[in-house]
Amino acid sequence: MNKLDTTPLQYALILGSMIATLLGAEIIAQQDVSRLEPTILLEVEYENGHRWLIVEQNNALVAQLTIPNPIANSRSSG
Amino acid sequence: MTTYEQLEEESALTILARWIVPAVIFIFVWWILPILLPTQPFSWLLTDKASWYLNRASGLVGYFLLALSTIWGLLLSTKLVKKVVPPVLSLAMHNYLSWTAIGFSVLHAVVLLFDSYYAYTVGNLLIPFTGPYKPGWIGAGIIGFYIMLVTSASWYFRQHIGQKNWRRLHYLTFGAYGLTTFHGVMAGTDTSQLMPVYMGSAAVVIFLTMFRMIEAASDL
Repeated sequence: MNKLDTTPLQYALILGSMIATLLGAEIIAQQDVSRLEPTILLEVEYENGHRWLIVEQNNALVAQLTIPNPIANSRSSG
Repeated sequence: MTTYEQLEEESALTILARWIVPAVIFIFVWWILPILLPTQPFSWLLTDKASWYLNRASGLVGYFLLALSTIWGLLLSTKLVKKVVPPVLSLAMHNYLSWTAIGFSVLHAVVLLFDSYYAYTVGNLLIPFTGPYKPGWIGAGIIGFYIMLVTSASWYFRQHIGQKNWRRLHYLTFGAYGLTTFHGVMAGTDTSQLMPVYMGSAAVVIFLTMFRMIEAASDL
């Protein structure tokens, strides 16, 4: 009796699953990069262990006040 | 007529194809390819995150295989597949899918032993609810794995336990599928991206279960 050989199916399944695992891990590794854009209000994702946490970072310039130098403006200085 | 030598030759070829060829491919991809391509694809294999990436990928592949095995098993019990696929092939497919799912579930767990963040022990992987990360949902996955193992192995003991008992035991696969799905959804870190996969497979399993129940009721 001619018996149907299913062994190639088994090897194809194992090999296909191995390749899928490696390619899947490659895709995950490629996506596993921090993404920073030059915007004022930025959502920053950072990895804390195995969890991705999201915080909002404000990159706006902080207003600075120039205080006159009291020594330079002194009448006795010049 | 098959001689003893022919059988011996066959078994040697089977061992070669079943174990040695996949092992050589795995060694090549794991060790040789990263050396050849240090900054190219697969360079992550040399980083301390390799086990983490492999854990996620093998978990997903294992889940796919389990879902396919469950779906194929349900299709097998309907008249749909019987008309199209030869019984030997359809049974072998179901068997290979479930055992490959078990193999990739083992890989999914074992790589955690090499994780650089969580310190998993062999005990944590074998005993449910003892791990450092979401022990409840990881425990559900471990129990699902044990059920999968028992139901797959029961095929070889069905003559001892009887066809009826084996069939009853086989209903536990729904439990394995359910627990594994919840394990993936609740403990997986890629759930937001993979939700369509979980929802899709659950919808197919529920639909086929209902179809099977209606079909069985109409046969009575």
